Amino acid sequence: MDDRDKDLTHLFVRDLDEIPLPPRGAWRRPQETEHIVMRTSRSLVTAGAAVAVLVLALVVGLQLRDRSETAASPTATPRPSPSVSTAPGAVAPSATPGDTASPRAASVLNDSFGFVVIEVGSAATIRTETGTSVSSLNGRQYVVSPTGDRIAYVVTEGGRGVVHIRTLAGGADRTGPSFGEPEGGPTGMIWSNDGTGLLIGSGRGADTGPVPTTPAVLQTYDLSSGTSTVVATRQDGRVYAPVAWDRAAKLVAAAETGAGGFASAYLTFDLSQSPARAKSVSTRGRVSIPVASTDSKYALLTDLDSRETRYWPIADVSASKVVGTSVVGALWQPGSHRIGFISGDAFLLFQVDDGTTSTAFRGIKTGSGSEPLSFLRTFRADGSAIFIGVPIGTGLGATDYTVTRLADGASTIVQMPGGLVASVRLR
Amino acid sequence: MEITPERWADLYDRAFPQVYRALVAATFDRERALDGLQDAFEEGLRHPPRDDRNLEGWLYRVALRKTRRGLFAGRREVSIGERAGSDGVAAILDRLEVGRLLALLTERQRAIVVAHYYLGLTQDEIGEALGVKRGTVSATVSQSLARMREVAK
Repeated sequence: MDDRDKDLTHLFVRDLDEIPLPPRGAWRRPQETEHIVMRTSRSLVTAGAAVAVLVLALVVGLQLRDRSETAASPTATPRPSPSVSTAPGAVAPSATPGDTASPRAASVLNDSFGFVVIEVGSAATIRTETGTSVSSLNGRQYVVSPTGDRIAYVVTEGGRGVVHIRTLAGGADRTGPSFGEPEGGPTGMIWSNDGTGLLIGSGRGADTGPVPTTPAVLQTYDLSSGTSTVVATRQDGRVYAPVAWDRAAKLVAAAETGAGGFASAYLTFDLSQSPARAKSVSTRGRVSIPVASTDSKYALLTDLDSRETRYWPIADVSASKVVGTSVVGALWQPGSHRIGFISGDAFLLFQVDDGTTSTAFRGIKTGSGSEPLSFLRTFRADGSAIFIGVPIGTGLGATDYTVTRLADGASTIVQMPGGLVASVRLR
Repeated sequence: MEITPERWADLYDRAFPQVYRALVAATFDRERALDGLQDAFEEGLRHPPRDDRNLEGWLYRVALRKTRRGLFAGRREVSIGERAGSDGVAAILDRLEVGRLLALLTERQRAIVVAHYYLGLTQDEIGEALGVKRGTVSATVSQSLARMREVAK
C-alpha cells in the first residue's frame, strides 16, 4: 500500500466511522435466531421458520425452516383442539403474557411435554416444561415427528452428515441415511404425514460460492425398510427445501430455494407416476419456505416484505388464499387446519376449513412502530398451548418465552437457558 | 478453532460495526445494509466460515450477495438526495467528505472502493467477494479514484 492509499484509508476510516449504528438489539433478528438453527433445517431445511428470524435462521432459516413448529399430531385426520373456541369472533379469556405466574400458572406447564433447547456452549438438551433435563442431542437440524415423540436430526460423523432418529420415551437412537459433506450435506428434512418416513433435501446452493459440482437431491427415506428413493435432482446452484410428504396421496411438495434462502419456486411431485410427475410454480420477492399442516394437506407461506400470508391445498397452489396482512408468525396448530398468528397484541387462530378467525387472547407485548417485538416460537406438540418469545437482549438465549394455554388463556413464563427449538411429547 | 453458534454470535457482534458501516457506504441504504447483514448472520449460523480470519470480509461478501439483486442486477441507482426523505443516511453521508465522494460513484464502484479502503480487503478478496476478476477490481478502483479526483479538483 503506497502513501496515497494510506491517506485514503485514513480518510475512509475517519469518515465512515461516523456512520451511526442501529440499536444493539437490531443487529440480529432475535426472533429468528433459533429459527435459523431450525432453518438449518431449512437448510437442511431452510426451513427454519419464519416468523421468525424473522424466518428461518430462522431461523429461519436456522432458513431453513423450523419443521418442529409444524410437527405434532400423529393422526392424518385433522382433529379439533379441545380447548379452543372456533366460533367466529370468539374471544378466549384474556391473559397477559409476560406477567409473572398467576395462580393458575403452575398448572399451565405440563411435563408430559418438553422442549429441545439449544444451550450456549453445549449440546442441545431435551428438558421437561418445568425444567428437568431429560437427555442431550449432539447434532443439528432437529425435526420433530408428527406425533411429537421422535426427533430426526443430523450428526456429522466421519465427514458425513448422518441422520439420526431419537425416540424420546426410552431414548432409543437409530441411524438413517448419510450424506457427504459439505457439498452433499442435508439442506432440509421433514417427516411424512404418517411418521413413517422422512423427506430430505441435500446438496449445497450457490448462494455463498460457485455452483457446486454435485447435484442437489430431494429424496424420500422409508424408516421401516431403510430405503431411500430419489424424487428429483438439480444442479443449478439451487437446493430443495422439503415441505410435505403425504404418503397415502403419494404426493411430495418442496420449495426451491434461491438467494438468501428464500423460496423461489413451489414444487409438487406425483409419486404415483414413474418418473414422478412434477409441477413448479415460481414465487416472487422474499417469501418464506412453505410450511405444511401436520397432515400435509395444506401449506402456507409468508411474503416477508408485505407480511401477507397465504395458504393453499398442497397439490394446488393456484387455489391459494390470503390469511391476512401484517401477520406475524403464522404457524400451523398441530393436528388441525388452524393457523396461529400475531396481529397487534392479539394471538389469532384462522380456521382454514371455514375461513373464520378467532381471537385466542390478547396482551402480547408489541414493539415500537410497526415492528413486532414478540414472535411465535412454537405450539406445544399437541397444539394445546402456544409459546411466544420476547427478546430481552442480544444473546442467543436472551429471550423470555411465555406459554399460554389456549383452553383458558392461563399463562406463565418459561425459564429457558438457551434457545427454544421445538416442543416435544415426552410420554 | 471451530465456530460454534455462540462463538459465531460473539464474532458477529465484534465485526458488526465496521461491516455495517461499509455496507451503508456501499449501498447508501441503511435498511438494505442491516437486512443483508442480518441475513449474513443467519447464513453463518447455518454454514459458518471455516475460521475467523478475515471475518469482516466474509460478512461483507455474504451480505453483499444477499443484496446482490439490488447491487448488480440493474437496480436503479439512487443518489444521496433522492433517498434523503426516507433515510437519514443521506444527511450523514453528505456531511462527510468520503460520503460526498462516494456519491459520485456507481453502487458497484462504491462496493469495491469501500471494501478496499475501509475494510482493507485485498483485490483478490474483493474479486472473490463480488464475483469479478482481480483485474476488474483494480480497474474499478482506478476509475473510481480518477472520478473522485476529477470532481474534487
